[in-house]
Amino acid sequence: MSRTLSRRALLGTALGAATAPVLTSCFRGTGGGGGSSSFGQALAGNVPDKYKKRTVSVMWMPWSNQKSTLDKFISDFNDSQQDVYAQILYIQDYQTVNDKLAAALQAKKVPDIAGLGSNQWWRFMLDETLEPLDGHFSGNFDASKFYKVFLTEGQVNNKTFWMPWGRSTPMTYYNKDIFHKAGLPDRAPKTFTEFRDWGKQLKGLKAKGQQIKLTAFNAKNPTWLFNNPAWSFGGHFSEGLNVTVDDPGVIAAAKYESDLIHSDGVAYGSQTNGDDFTNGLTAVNFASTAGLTAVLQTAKFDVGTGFEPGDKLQKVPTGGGGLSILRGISDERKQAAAKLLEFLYAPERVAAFSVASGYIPCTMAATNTDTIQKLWKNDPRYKTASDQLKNAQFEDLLWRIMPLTSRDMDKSMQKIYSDASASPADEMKALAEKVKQQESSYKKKYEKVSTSA
Amino acid sequence: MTATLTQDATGRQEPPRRRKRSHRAHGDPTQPGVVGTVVGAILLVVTAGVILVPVLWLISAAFKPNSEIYEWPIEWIPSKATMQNFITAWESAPLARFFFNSLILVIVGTTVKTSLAVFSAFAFVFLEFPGKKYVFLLVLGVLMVPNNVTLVINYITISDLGLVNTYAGILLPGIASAFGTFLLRQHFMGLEREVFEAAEVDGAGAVRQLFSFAIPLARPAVVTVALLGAIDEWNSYIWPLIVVNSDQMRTVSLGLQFLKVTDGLQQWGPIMAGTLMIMIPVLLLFLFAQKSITTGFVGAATK
Amino acid sequence: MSGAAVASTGGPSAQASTVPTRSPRHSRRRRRRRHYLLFALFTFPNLLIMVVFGYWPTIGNVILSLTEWDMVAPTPIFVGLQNYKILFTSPDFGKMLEVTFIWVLVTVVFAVIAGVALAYLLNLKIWGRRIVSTLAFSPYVMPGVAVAVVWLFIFDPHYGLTRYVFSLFGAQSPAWVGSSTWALPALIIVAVWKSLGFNALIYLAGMQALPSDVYEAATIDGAGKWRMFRSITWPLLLPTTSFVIIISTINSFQAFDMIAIMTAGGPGNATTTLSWFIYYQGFQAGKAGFAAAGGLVMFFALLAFTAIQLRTFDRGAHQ
Repeated sequence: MSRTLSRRALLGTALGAATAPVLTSCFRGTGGGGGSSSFGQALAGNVPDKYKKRTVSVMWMPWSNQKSTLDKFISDFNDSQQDVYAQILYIQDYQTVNDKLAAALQAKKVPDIAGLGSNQWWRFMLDETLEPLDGHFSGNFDASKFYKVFLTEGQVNNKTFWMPWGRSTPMTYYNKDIFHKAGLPDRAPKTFTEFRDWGKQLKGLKAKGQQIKLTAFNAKNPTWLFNNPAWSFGGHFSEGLNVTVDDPGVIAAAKYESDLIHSDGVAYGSQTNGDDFTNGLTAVNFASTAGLTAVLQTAKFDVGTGFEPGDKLQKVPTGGGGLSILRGISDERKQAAAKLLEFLYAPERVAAFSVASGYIPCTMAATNTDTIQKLWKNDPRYKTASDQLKNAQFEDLLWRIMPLTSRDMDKSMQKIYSDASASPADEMKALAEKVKQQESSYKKKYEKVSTSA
Repeated sequence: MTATLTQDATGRQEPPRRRKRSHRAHGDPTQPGVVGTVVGAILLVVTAGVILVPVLWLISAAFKPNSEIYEWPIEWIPSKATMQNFITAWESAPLARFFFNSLILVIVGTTVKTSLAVFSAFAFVFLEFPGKKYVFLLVLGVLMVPNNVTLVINYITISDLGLVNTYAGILLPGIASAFGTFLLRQHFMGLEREVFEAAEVDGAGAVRQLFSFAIPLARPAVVTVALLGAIDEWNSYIWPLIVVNSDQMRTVSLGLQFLKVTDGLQQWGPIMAGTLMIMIPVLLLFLFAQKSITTGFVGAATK
Repeated sequence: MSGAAVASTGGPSAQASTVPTRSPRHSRRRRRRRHYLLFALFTFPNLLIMVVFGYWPTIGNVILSLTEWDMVAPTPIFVGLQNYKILFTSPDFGKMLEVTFIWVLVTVVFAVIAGVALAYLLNLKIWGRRIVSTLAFSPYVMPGVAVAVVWLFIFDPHYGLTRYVFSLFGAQSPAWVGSSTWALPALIIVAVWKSLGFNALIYLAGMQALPSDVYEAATIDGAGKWRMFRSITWPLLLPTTSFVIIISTINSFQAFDMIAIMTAGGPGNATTTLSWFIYYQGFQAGKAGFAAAGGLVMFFALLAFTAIQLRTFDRGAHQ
């Protein structure tokens, strides 16, 4: 017995030893490169002749729907500078930035700044590819200027790796016209229990030839929005580094949504829940604050906004994005990137970006600008998200540091939404198993960086 | 009319025997009765409908004002056709640059790919080499390698070569066409060997044989390989998706992604307009070169 | 078109080949040597690329599949067969194989049935068949991405064509890509729509190449159209069928654009085929080793299938 074991162990070691050089020579990663400034630059486009002498700073940004606003910032920046030329590459969403950045690191040709999603930046941090920003702070680009609730999410061991930009939380949008017709109060539901009751009152109301539904759950990326009901029912996806997604609270929340869809028939999972709402097919939409401007522009009815509901606990997850500088680039490029960030975090720009989208202004100074104050006065709906910040908290830890958890959970939720026979308890248990199978390397890395980053 | 069709589908070197159609008049299964004609005609119309309706839906939506897209009941004809969707689509991303990139890739990629295929197919048929049968198996074997299996490692190779985000990086992994080589080899094998033997006796070297006889005689097949290569290049998606990371290098297929964004709000009008724009070039190519394309595909299957 | 690229390689060897010959034996040897050289020259670039971008990834995949690596970390970590262990024991894997199997099987069956039926129709001498055959073939050349986007809109249960079509029958449209049950059928419909004309034209060519004498004999025997089809046309078309099956299987196995755009493997895992799985694990989930293990499974599945089919194909072709 022991002989076979040791022989197997020996064989394993030998094979491991034999493959290791092959592995390093064939497949090279790039992380942990630390200070080595060996990375090339992934230019977004041609550098015009008149800027040829400047240091180029490339940003990868997922906010392509805010193209005109961001383009203006960049061209203003380039006009204002002598030594730095900034470029922006739009990438369709957080997930794709994540994919492309991993691939770019492999190729050792990277952008200088990346706009990363709240579920994705950790992965790069854990592989030590993000620059601690604190040493680059100056002017508006400084930790002290930001709301703690957003800032601290990007900090590990008192070092800042991910600065708030385009931060959001979910909120409740409701169709005032439908609420009026249905005899519902002119406000967002306070609890999920109340919300479920409201479903009955919509009976017989039609839009575009169809029964109006209470809500359409976002079936594309359900997980982030699902934090709120899960917490509301007393559940947590994880506690510390332990998966608890199969605890009764989370299951109860999943069952609640499943019942709304499959027993009550007043809700459904939709890939286009935003469209469904703005077209009057649903009375309520739980969605990111980031889409507020687009919703107000598209909807032809009176849109109401409110906090997310909560029964046992009324909490909303912070989400959206942040900006990081890549660690492996030259000091010159890092300084150029810091200049660009300093420019972008000017209060009036943070404010303008917020107005154009609905993202929450993430610095105190931005909140105090005339732009924001006037907007809030003229249209209090823009203030809902900021007011709701008192309910905001980060997503549960494991869900932030393991990029796969959200994706896997999306799948479980999609199944629950679309399949009446899927049992929420079984789905959550299977999910917990899956996470456990994958967690070890993330935990190891996390424990390493959280003590020594 | 019918004669052309038969020729198209089966290739040009049709033995004269089958041109004499009068022989088959009786047992000809292609000659429907009256009922057969009526039923057949109806089915043809249905088929045409199945193919056309989605395309008409696309065109209709592309020209509709955004509000009408979400109307119920559906209006097929826009109340007033608008170009707004096209303008929005065009402004949402540097589409002109994307079209330019796709065009460059098509031209360069097709040229190189076709040349490589022509040369190796010729070698496999007309040149001696010990064990060339097995070498040919090497070519066929690549057809067995599923595209997705190669993605990760090809990305690593391309990045080690420093070719990420370059035209070469986009083209290189797909530039050797096993299918093209196979197809051309089939066609070359169908050519009269005596012509080449006679040419060789006359002192014509391999290169002259290739350019003076093989290519002209198998021209339809060569054109087909080129056309298929062009279509593939224009349509390719997953590889550019992985290997391109700048507006300078993005292709039309990737451009479509930009229209599909926004928080849960789909802009179907501009999306459809963009889709129509990237479809039109390849459809035009197809309409102009329809014969070559179908002949080539089908030729490979029947030879 | 390819003249410029070719001329440089063609020049010197063309001269070499015109050198006058001496004795027959001598010249045969010279000829052979020249052939070897030219063969190597002509096939080398093609083969080199195939080896580097076709064979190397296949081999490299084997190595990669024994590691855990997110492509960002400094080096892959050797983990032995762990990826396979996780893969084969995970319930997702079973589901994925099932989805892949159904997807491939159904699309291939439709490719054959619809292909042969449409070919039969197009082979009848009816006015307009040529236009229809052109029409039917056209989706095959359209960009997969574009086709996927159009159908995504068509399948939208609220604003898409599907609602209209179902309303004609007084029914409500399923949610298609948003429904576990209907997402796969939605993809299958698109795949069949896209490749229908291609398969039909292959069959059409096969039919038109059939000898006519057998039909004459059969008509004299008084065989009906269906019997003629069943006992003559269909058996004679077996090599064609074999070809259609191989091509469709390879295409279905590799289908990616449509799945990426329309469902991204969802809802849940309802449309996660091997092809999507590999991409997802490798480039989105950051699990290159796991993706490689999946890739190897796909490689062997396809290899086994094609080996079997090719044998049938060969047998049919040599008849």
